[in-house]
Amino acid sequence: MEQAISKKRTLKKIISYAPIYLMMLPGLAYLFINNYMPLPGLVVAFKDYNAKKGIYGSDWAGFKNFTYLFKTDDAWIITRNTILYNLAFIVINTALAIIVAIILSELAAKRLKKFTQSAILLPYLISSVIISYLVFAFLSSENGFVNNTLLPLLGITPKNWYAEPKYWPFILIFVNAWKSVGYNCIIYLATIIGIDREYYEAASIDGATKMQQIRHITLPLIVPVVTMLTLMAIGRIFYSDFGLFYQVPQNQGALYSTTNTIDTYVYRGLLQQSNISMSSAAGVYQSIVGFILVLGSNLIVRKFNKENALF
Amino acid sequence: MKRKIFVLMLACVMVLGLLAGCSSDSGSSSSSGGNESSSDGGGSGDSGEEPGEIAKLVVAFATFVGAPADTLAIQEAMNEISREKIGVEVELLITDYASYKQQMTLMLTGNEPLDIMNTLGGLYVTSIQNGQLKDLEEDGLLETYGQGIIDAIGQEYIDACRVGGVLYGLPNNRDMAQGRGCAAIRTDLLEETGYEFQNGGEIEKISLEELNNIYAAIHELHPELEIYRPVVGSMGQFSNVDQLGGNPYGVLMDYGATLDVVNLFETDYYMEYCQRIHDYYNKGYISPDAATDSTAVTELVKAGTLASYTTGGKPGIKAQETNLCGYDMTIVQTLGDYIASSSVAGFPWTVPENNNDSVAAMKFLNLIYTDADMMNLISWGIEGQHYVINDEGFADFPEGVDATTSGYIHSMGWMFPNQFITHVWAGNDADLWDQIKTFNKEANKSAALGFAFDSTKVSTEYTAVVNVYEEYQKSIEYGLTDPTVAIPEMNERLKSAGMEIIINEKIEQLNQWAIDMGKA
Repeated sequence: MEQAISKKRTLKKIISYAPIYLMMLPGLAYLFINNYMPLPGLVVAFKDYNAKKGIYGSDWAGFKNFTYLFKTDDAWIITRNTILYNLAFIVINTALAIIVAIILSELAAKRLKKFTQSAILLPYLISSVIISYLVFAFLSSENGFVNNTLLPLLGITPKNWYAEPKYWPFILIFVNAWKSVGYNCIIYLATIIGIDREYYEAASIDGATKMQQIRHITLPLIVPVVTMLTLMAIGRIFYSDFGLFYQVPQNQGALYSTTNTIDTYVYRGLLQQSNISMSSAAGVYQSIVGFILVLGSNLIVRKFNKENALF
Repeated sequence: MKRKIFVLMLACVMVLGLLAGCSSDSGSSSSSGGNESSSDGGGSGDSGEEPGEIAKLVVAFATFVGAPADTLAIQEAMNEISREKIGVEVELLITDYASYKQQMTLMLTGNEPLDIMNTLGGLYVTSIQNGQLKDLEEDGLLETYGQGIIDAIGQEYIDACRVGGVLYGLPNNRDMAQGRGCAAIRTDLLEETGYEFQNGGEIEKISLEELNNIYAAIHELHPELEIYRPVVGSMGQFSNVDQLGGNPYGVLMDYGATLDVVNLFETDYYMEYCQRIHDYYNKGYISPDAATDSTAVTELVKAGTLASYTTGGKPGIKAQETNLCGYDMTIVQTLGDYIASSSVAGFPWTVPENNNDSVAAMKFLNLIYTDADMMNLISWGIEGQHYVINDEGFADFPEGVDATTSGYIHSMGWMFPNQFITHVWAGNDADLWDQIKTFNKEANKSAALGFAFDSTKVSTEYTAVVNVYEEYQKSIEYGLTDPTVAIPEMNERLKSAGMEIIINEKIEQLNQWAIDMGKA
């Protein structure tokens, strides 16, 4: 009897929410078709792909397609580069985005606030090819701003930037920060605005300074959002922004030791070979590792604070 | 009330705009400079068994300028002929060279309509490895419908395109040989140095030392100019090396006189070449931006900042480079003429597996290899509109039209099936095609002519080696670093990346090929 009633209630609930489920349907259908249906195609990474036989008809190759990612010295270099860059990006971009978001939230002038928001968002929308030429305009040996104007002013000898790998971690981290801070701070800004003003009023009545207010009210309350975004970023730790690492160093071989990541290595190595199995193997490798890392970090976060974890 | 009407109208306009965007385009090839393939329009035809049924084919090739403005008109003109003669209609799918390989790879794997494909850009061997090209001799296809092709090219060159004994593509009639060690130099600068011109053919044959002296003289007179700009292919063109299989990992030296495969980067030639370029760099002939700047050398000469660059020699090269650069160029040559193993099969015309009607495809190929009207249309454009025949019988621009205003110009005449039956463009010799035939005949021929390398067994090593070579290539071959230090370093890393494995595989495949062809 009770079961029948609760079933009826659930059914009523579903019917009353029917329009909402219907709205969800196109999105779900797209998600299913675009993201889940192609999943069986992952086997191409474990096969010796032959276009005539198709994906499912080609012969099995076991883990042969993965060996090139681990065999040579280069393999260690690209893995190291990818992980270290991503760790730096996560830490630096998050810190910068939070700082900018806090500053923006404290801005009183509305017009200035809106203008600044749009202005810092702009770099994110520029294509990496254009960014690479912006950087080239600064770092070019013959006509660049740095070599011809800035360094002589400071009394330092000009360098051939595109031939010295050691400066590029800094250059790339800087360019990536310049590009992402506007986009990333939007979410933090939205969270900060959502914090109840009463906390701040209570704090200022109690005599807290701005810095103390930020440290004890703002930061703790945005921790959930920061955790969530960081966990998601960890899931992509083996991926890299191809445009950033291929275009901005102008595809210069001399810089490979510090700018070659898994994505660019695979692209360069396989461009002449058209080997679909091997390139898919790289993608599978990146996804599986990312998946394991997300699950792992999520578990760790759960131990600390159940609410902050993703799932 | 007003607001409601306004909102309603806005919604209607947006919906109409959406629907307008959904209409299919006319199904022609992309507009100038575009690189999207048309999804509607010409697909692969039916089996053509019913007489009177027109088979539709998609013919794809690349140019360095994308699809010219008047492509559709040319296509129509060609279709008028092909419809009548063989009952076939074509759609010209012209793509910019920079994205051609990716575009074709996508179309091949996506099984899109693609019936005839030119393989410029290294597509030939990779498509064969992926099983994406048809065997052109299956069921006697070439024999039955392609006799004209065999007559036009000759069996020897056709055989040079075989891979594993199977014929997957057809070579075209062009300069197979290449004058090695050639450089194009601005004539006015050359004259300033007091150089004495030989009164021989169009190419000046000089020694390497004389070239160095010329560069030194120009640099003295014009220290503000960039004297020489190396490009990625410069080292290959300025050598007598045969890059087996189109890559520099395991080569034949000395015009491919013997089938002895060596590691190019450990040879004296490579060290000497790099030292010479490093010397140029130290003397200031080469700009430090040479590695990062990707502007075409001809554009730099046109802009007046560059004096010379490497090129491949052939009959008609002087007119070609002068046309591209806007300045009169002199071509000097320091090495001999040479047909490398992979030059015949450089970019064959193929029929991908996507095609559903091999008979129609072969008929069309036969037509375009033999019909002068078709070749003239696709090479030069429509007579009267894009070119006229002048009094001396050459093709030239019509009144008021030049290289920048013509609606159909691409300078890719050498890529099409049979250049030898087209008009000769003004500025060349009247017997240009005969000159080229002689040029081909008299050049050094590599012993490995026709050999193709299959890299699937050594994919892992190949991937690693490519990454290492690309890391060092520009700094060494553009003279930016000291070769005595950098070359041994690169060789160490190449070895640990698996260079020896690739070379051994090449030796094995070459020996097998020699046995198959009865040359062992």
